[in-house]
Amino acid sequence: MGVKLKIALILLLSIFFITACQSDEPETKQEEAENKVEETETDTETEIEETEPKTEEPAEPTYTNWTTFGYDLGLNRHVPFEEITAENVSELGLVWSKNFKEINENIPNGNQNFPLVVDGTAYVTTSGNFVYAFDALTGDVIWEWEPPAEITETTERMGMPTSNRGVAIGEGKVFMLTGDVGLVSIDQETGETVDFIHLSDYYPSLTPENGYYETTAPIYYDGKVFVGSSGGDNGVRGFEMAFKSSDLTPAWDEPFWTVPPKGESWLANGLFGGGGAVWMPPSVDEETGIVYFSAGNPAPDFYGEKRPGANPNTNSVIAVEADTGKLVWVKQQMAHDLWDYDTADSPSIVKATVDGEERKLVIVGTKASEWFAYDAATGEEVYGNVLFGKSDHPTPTTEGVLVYPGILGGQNYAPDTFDPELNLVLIPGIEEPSIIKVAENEEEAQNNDFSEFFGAMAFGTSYAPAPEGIEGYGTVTAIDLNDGTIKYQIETNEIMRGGLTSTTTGLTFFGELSGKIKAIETETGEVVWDFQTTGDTISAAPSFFEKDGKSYMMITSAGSQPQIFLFALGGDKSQGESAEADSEDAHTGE
Amino acid sequence: MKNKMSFLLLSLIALTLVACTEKEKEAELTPEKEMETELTLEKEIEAELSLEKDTFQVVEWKPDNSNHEENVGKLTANGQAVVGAVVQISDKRTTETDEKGEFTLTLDANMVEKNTIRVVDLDDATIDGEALSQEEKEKIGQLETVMSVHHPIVIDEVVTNEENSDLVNVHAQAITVEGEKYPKFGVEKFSVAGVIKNEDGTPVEGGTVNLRRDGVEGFTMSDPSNEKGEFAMYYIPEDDENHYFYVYHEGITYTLPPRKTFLFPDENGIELSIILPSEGTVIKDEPPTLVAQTAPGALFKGNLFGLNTDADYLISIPKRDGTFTVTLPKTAWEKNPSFYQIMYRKFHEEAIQPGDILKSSIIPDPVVSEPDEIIPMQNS
Repeated sequence: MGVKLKIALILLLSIFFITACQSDEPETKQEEAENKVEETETDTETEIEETEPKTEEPAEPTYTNWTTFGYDLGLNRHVPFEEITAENVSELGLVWSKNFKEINENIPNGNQNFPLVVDGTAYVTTSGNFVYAFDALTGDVIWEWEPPAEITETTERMGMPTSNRGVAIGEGKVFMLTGDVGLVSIDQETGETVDFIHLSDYYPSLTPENGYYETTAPIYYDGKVFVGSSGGDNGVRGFEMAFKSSDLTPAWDEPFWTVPPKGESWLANGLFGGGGAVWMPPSVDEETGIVYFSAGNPAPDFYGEKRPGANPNTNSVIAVEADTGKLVWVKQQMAHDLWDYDTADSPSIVKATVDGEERKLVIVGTKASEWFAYDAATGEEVYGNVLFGKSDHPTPTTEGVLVYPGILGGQNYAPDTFDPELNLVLIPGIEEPSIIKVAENEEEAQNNDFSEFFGAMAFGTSYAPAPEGIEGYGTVTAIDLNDGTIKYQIETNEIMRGGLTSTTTGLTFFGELSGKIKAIETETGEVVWDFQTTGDTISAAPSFFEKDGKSYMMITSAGSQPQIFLFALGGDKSQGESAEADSEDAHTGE
Repeated sequence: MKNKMSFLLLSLIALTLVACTEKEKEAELTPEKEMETELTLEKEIEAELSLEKDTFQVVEWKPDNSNHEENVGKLTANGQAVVGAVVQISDKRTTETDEKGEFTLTLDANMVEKNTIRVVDLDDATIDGEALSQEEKEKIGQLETVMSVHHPIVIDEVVTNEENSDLVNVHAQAITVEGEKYPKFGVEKFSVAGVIKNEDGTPVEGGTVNLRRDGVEGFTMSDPSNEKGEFAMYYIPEDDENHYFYVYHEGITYTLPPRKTFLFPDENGIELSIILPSEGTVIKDEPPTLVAQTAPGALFKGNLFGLNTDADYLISIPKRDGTFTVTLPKTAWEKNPSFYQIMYRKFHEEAIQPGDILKSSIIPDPVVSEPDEIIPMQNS
């Protein structure tokens, strides 16, 4: 290096420092910091022993977070936490709980929220689109996002379920779909609204008046927020869409519409037809940038005459490019469905051992009690129609037929979990038949004198619960990915509505409609722990997180007094009423 | 019409000289140099926002969404790429031009629509690595172009109207892709309309009528009733089937008596008269508190054509083969009017179907997102 260059560099560096010295706030802080160091150094010289603690930085807590709906973008719901084991699970107890209605009396009944926890803050929604940031360790409310009156007014007028399954988090914002078919971004720190759009701002047909509504959690990935909707049985046109997380403007030019518009293709003749709603969050393969989502049943649900053919893309897993929404592949699980057997559950992306070799699969269970596995890249079927529940569903008649599974499934929205160490997927199932019947034929309909029908008809024509004497129950089914066979199946007291979460220590946790939380051994299905909460009708799966290596489990309950609970080893073992032990060493109720 | 069409906006932009802000140098200009500057100032900037393809034929929806077609746009100035410009597509997605000044977009060729593509932000844009001047930003920022999805129209025959020789009958056809049909026109929904009153006969304003299918998904709701208590909504039950029936007003939900549901027909509209109780929340399911009558008509929906002319005309609803007719004054037709294509959605008491003739007075003008300049082709 020449002398001149050296001089020039020195000059440049001098200029840089002079410039840096002219900046204001950071410099002030830097000065303060320097001053502190100097003071400390002075102290060090005089009082060494006293100074030592002052020179140590306070230890920053470390967290392992639950940042998206299914723990990871592949929706595996499997955490690598090692603290809670089969040996110590009996020491799990309550750290805190909150009754949502005691926080805000306007919160409606029910709760299907799957909490997210980031750096010690839990982000939780309720029915009716209230959002809370809790101190995850204490339950203190950090901020509350109350839904604007327009959301509440619209959802109340609709008289439809106001369930909400949670938020997505990214770029310092919390994203939620609102019941009036809106999408909001909320400042993660302050709880202030950043952007709020209605999907109809860009795609005018996506309105509550047309039958759309929202219960699903969005997914954040790579600057985009992925959304679907409810409403398939209202004859709406199902879709998946991506919005930019920066400003909630469209990230794709067009939604991926799962079914044709009315008047075309297999909907050429049916007035009511539609369906293919994307009820649940998509999974995302970060390695390939492919998004996978499940599309629900065709509409009309029980009446197929006016929707001829397979009704492609309904009851299907659909893979699209995350950047464009362009189709990669689609696989249908049930063609021309007549029983409302949605593919409701989100597809999960798993790395599994198949016939001795590792493969990346997309797996999904359906309301028809069937399970499928596809090659993630090509959609090639690896396992198909693996039955995990009773299946007997004759074509619906005007007299009514008893069908297995019933209207709830099968596997409904409750998510499964995949344990890669055991190479097992565990599926939450519902064993509860229904009676379904189609209405009278069109000729009879045309001869109706409508005034005769006011209030004169008995309750229910198209759907009814199972006859007395047939009790519904739930199942957990473990399928070995190596050969696609069922390794075991256990029965649960209630139908499975919440879903499963597993740990690397070989445990799988779930809540039940009784308000009980259970842990089973993932490998065997043996119940090793249960805990009666004070909550009702648990309708979501637990989320786990760690602080400083200690594991915590968070779960919501529904019913008329919706609550949220945090559990950890060493917590309070006091249980709610009506506890009935389902495991040998389970706690008794107090 | 050629597929490749460019929308050019030519602007005279005085080139901003780097020196122009340097007053010292300005002062040193000799007369010769001043002349050179004037010549440079007269240089034009040719700015262009173009698309590879600006007209698309409507295609049927495909399960693989291959009805979505990709298109490439390009933004240039004086033949040089404008890099990093933000372009907006029909008030929806925004995207940036790449190092070639290009951007890609996808359109749904299944939907009749007109997309407007415009430049919306040039703050970070560059040309040949240099930021744009204010003048360049202003001029390039005005660029926009359109991309239309519609059925091309072919004129098969023009004949003098038999009843009125001042009129002509234009026999035309909307061209569909081979093997496909023109989208079906028909009933979308039936109407459920009526009046909500209090027991004292005063109209209830702001009440919402809400129907929900029994046991399974499916619902609809009305807009809030007006000052006369009138409400209206459109609905199509899956079949004739039972529904929960609610009226929501000022935070109170009124219902039918317990275990009573409302059987709705699936082939007709109905007219309802509802009287809300002064006490309680139960609407008695008998006259006069609840009265229903069949109501004619329905909400009809489908793609129609209109004509860009001031003259009155008659136009038929296209059949599935795309054929339709227009009857209009010969003088108007001789002015070579273009067509527009719209999504028609209107209530009709009398049933209408493909082939039926509509008056021009009921054909709405196109909205900004609908194709409004379809030049018909002559059948050779």
